[in-house]
Amino acid sequence: MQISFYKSSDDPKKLAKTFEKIGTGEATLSATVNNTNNTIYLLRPSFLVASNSLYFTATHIYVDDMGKRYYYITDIALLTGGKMEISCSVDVLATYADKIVDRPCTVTRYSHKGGKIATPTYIPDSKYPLDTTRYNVTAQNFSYTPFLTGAAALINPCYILTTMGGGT
Amino acid sequence: MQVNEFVYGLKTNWAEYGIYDEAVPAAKKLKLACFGFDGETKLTEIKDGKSENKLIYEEAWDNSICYAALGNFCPLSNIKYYGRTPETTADHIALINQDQRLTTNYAFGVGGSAGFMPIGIKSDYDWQNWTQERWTNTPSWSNGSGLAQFSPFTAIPIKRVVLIPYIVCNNGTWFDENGDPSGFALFDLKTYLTGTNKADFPYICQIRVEMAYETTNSYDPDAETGTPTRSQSAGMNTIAILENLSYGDGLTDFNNSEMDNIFKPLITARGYSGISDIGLTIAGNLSSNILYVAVNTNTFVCPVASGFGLEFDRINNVKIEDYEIQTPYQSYQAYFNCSVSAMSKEEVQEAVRSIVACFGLFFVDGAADKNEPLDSDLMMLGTLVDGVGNGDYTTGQDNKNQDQWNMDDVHEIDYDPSNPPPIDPNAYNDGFDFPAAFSLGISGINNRYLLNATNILTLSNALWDFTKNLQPEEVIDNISQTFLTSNPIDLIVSLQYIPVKDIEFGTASAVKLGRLDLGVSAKSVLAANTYECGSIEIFPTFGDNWISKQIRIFAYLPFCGTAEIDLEAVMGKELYLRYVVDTYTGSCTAVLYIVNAKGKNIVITTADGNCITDIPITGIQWETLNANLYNAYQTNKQLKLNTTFGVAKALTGFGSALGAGDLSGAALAGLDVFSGASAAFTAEKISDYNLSHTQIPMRSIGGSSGITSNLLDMSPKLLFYRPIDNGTDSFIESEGLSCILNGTLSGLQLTGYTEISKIDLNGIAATAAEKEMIRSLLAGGIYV
Repeated sequence: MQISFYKSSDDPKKLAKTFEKIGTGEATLSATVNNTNNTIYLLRPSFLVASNSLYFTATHIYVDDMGKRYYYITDIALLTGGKMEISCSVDVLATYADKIVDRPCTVTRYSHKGGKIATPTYIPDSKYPLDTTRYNVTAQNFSYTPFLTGAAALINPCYILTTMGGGT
Repeated sequence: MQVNEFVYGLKTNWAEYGIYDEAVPAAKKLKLACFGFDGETKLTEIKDGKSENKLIYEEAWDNSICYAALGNFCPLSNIKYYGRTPETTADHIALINQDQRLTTNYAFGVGGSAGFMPIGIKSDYDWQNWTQERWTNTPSWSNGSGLAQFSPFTAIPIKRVVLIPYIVCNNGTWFDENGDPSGFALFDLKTYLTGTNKADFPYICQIRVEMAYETTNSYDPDAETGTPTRSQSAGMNTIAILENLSYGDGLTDFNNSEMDNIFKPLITARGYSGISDIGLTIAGNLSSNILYVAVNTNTFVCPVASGFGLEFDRINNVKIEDYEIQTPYQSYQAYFNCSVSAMSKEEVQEAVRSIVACFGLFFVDGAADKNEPLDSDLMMLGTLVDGVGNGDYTTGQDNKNQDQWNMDDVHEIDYDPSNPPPIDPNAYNDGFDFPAAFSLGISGINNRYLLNATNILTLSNALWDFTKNLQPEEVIDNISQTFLTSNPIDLIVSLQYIPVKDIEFGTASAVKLGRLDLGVSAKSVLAANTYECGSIEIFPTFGDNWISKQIRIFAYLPFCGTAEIDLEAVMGKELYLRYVVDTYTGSCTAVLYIVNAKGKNIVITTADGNCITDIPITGIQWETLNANLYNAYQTNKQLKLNTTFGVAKALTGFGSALGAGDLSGAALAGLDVFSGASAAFTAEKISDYNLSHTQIPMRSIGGSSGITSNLLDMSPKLLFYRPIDNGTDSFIESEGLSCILNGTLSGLQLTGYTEISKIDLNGIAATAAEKEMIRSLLAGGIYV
């Protein structure tokens, strides 16, 4: 089967990766690596290809015949006879990226929406670096106080003398 | 909700109501039910629903014509029925029944002049004579009475009608010498609140609403601007309550006929002049005992005598009393002994607007504004929540945000009258009613003078001034004063320090303590006073999010300590502070409150304290001292007199006795004389001593209390404790922020770091293991 070699500098957790094609090659599935039962695993296959130094820069393999899957290259072994054995592990994000983005989901954290960086919402965030062990304390006066202060207390009458007596 | 055409006629046969320009299309006109339609032939006149067997007597009307409900806030959802019963005397009315509904279905319409329509009316009923029969069994509808002429609107083009509230008011005259109504006036709300009208006519008797409708086709609201020019004409109004009414429940007439459910629906009608009542209404006329609005076309409601009354308490001023009715018109006073003088113009405006807003239509304050564009600042639109109006409304451009802006007819409103939405009965819009800021002065019970620091020194000096008060000669001469005087210090009840503003009232008078005139003048002291200290807006410093909820707020309240404020209740609102001070005890209460969206005060917290410091005052008890001195002086004088004469006499005798040189009895007698003289001399000395050592009676009044509170900051304030936000953009880019969003990643336009807790992977041809890997990776966070 024909396999394609790609190079990507994206984080493994990137959903839709950017690939730079390196080359293609004919490969056969190898049953000798990472298994003891001569079993070929769909999600962790190994491929035998003719050696090519270009393949050392590859990060991914795309195999159309295996469900159009992208695979991480986990290891490369040089064999005798000009062969390379390439061990792989399926990259589900790259493989199903275009479908994942259209599936209904519940998002619990995000960094950007509509091209704008996220802002805190009503949902409490335990990861957020909010220091609640120290507070900035400020004071703001009401515009009016009913009490006399300072010099006003000395000038204005503030003493109630209650005496006996009454009537008008 | 669609109108039931089986009951109200086919839509295509609904009758147009009103006078329009020729160019106005049918779809933009008010329509009336066509009860008389039968088959394909359209009748030339509208017949009443009863005669056409479309409306069954004693059953509620088909409420499909109701496009939206009135919430509990509307007075028509809270009706009390008053009237005479066999148990009451002829001159008294009493509460008979009461309806309270969370929602009320209703219909606008035309025609109809009656309020309640009981089973029957005796047109010659003598309201003063209870022995006559009150009820008949003749359905009044079949008599072709006013109610039968009522026809409901089945189509109301929302953007082509405007409600205008009117105020029926009285200047307090009520009726003239002939017993005819007098002193009434009718203003639209805007005019009522203009100039001195409100002050001249402070008694609000009724609130009515007129529906003006668009007569031209030139007004076709532009989607963006709401122009061009409009032309509204006065319309109907009649409002029918499409509910079972309880006003006759449990009552029987003199024939012992049960009156349960004797009337449905209630018409609050004012059909002829086009303005219907939506709140207050009053009794009928002398010839019947039913409740209905008087039908004079050019005058206002003239409520008289008998029958039932509706209490309208949403404006908080109407008071219905069990009033002894001497004349028919006095019942009006009983019903509507209301005054809005305590309400400001703004409060009246808001109260009336809230009532009109319950109908969910466009409305204005004054008739002069009825032609304003629908997005004008003078135009308001009632807000409906699940088809129920609760008194909220929008103004101006905000009207465009409401669903009604995009509707052609009221029946596009999503409301099913047969299945009204659940209403939270705890969502009543009650609030805290503060009395207006008041100052309470009490005089004649005791004397309370407000003195300044200088006056206090004068007082103290006067209480200790020897020369001023020590007047023994005057005490001797003035017998009445001797017996009727008092120690100045004994006349003092207390001396207190209270550093509070604006607590004096009245005119200044001389401060006296018995005979002692301090020589200063002082005003009296208010018993209590309230102070509005302004408000502070609680601003979400960190934005409208969870971080702002970490802020803590404390109120520092002089003399009352500190109180933590519930942030959730005040965030984004103005927090007001009011102090109430009692100058007798010094107790003060600080009240922190907000004003909710419906203009009601909601108290958040209160704190109590004491702002008075007792000051002990001491002084000489002058009159007691004067009395003591007088007594001592008189005793001393007498003793001196006795001693002078007594010793001389004794010495004379002694000398004679000694001359004999005989120390026998005469000598002894002389010694006795000496001892007597000595005794007299000693008593005099003692008296001298007593006089010169007369103790000064002193007294101390009052205790002392702490003054430390007076040494702290006397300005109330809010303290804001804000956490420190260390969040940065780099943190957000690497960790994201918490949220709950539902949708697709593409639809939500999410990029960057994203965590997904749940995802529906149906439709993805991946193995189970792969799907599990996908879920795991998404939950752990990916970069989109």
